[in-house]
Amino acid sequence: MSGRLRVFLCGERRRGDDAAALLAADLLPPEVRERIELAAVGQLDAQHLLDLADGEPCLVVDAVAGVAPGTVLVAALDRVAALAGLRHPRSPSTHALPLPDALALAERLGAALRGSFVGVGGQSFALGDAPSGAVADALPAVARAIAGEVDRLSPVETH
Amino acid sequence: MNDPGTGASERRIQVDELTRVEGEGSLRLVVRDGEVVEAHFGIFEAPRYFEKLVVGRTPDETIDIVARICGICPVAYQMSAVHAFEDLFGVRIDPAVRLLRRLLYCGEWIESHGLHVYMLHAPDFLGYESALAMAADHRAVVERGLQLKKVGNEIIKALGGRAVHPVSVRVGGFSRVPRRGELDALKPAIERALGYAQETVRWTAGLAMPDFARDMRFVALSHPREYPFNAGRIASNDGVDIAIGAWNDLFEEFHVERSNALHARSRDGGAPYLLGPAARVSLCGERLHPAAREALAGSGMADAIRTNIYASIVARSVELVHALAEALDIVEAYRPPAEPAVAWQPRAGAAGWATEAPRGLCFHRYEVDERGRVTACQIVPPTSQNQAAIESDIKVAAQTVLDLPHDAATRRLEQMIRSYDPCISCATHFLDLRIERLDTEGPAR
Repeated sequence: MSGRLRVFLCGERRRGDDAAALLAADLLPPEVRERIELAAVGQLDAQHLLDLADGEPCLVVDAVAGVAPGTVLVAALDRVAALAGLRHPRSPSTHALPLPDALALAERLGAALRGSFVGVGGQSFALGDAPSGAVADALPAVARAIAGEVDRLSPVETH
Repeated sequence: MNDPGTGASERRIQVDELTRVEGEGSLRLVVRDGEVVEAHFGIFEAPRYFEKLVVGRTPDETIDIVARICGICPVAYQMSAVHAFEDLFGVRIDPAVRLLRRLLYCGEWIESHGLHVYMLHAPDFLGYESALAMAADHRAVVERGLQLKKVGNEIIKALGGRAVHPVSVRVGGFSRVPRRGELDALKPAIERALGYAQETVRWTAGLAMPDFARDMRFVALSHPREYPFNAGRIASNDGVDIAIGAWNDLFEEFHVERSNALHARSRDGGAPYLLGPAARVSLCGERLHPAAREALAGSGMADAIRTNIYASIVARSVELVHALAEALDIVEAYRPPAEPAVAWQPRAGAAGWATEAPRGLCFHRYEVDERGRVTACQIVPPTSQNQAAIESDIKVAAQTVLDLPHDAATRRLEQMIRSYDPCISCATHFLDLRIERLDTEGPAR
């Protein structure tokens, strides 16, 4: 454990709006970046959460479907599966679990699911696509949402 | 349904989307008058054109590109490619590099087999629809699977820079090799995982296997001194014994309408053949690591592995033991090579090479120009080659499930297909595209 907040960036840069988490992370200011540990994980695996120290919070960022493209969502990690209408882009690999299943499996195996989820609605997830205009326009808002959750989960210590 | 003209009855079993396999596939079965007349394992995942993508690329670029064919077995593609290029250029690698490549392959087998045994196949045997559902009642089992997969990923990361799509394999060696301390750090986790793997063999051997028995034709690499990864000859249990690069001498690919993946068959008209853990364990069992041989003997499943495809879960578990035991040996004896890679010079020509992917023989052939740029490429993944055996077995197995309710019959056949651990994403790397044009003068090509 580095002492910095672990931020899991899900998605694939070459799959259209699926790149949203990675692109938003590129926009984070240095003062936020120095407080976090970014991990580009492709798809979140239950093991990523099980590897966290007991009670250690984390932040998961991913693109989602089922909401208007460009819509930014913030939710507690243990509420992701219950978000109405939310769908996660079809996994490019059936050897990996969709995000809600990975979270559920981690929880079933004892992970605490402490932390937040930042999602952004996407519309095109095909290999080779560029991000849609709606998602490209929303990236600064996604970055602000990430920064906000970093502040909330890992407040700056004052001396 | 009954045919009003003949009175014949026909029943169709169709699984439109197979789950817990890598990629997008389907199964279609037609039963007429109690006899299975058609069994089609369809692959509708889009073709991916990797064989064209690498044309014009350097060997090292090609090695990284073909790794992208699969997120589960990228090392297999890298290994087949790098050995083909090294054979063509006459490169002799350092013995320490040779061992590191075996270690890298061990990592991939551990990660892939751990995933398949626990997350994809075990739910079939225990009656769950997914590993997630299984975890509610079998938490320790799922945790063991995740731990095994994690160790495999850590080995790949230590050697390849990252767990998925590693980037260090180069013609002549690696771009970077680990320091001794980096591999030493893996040792406790490998030792622990070896115990998990031995437990996995005992556990899978105790699972209830559906009845199924038939003579199988096995094909795998065979090496006189080692369990096959990167070297040996292509061999079978019916007398095949050809050079590792000579796959095209005895086998050929062909296209079938229902599949975006090319099929493969032997040119001599021989029976469909099986690749992968059951084939390797059956053909090369005496070269397993002693720890794996002991686990296999203790399981009492060696005969079942030869005849019952459902028992492939045990073969895969035995290979988990092998991969971890060999990984431990390599880590303990590791001395870094003098240089990560030896120098090499390109030359024009062609070469083929096969290595043992987790799912079986993965053959590559490259033609390159005098600068070493690829001018032609052929990649034959194991799932393409296993398709005919899958269909052949399904046709036989389907006869035994016809009396079951439709859902139960479907589940049993899905379980059988998962026994092959098909990787559809690998198999659709290329489609032989033909355009037939018609004009007023008649058909023209």
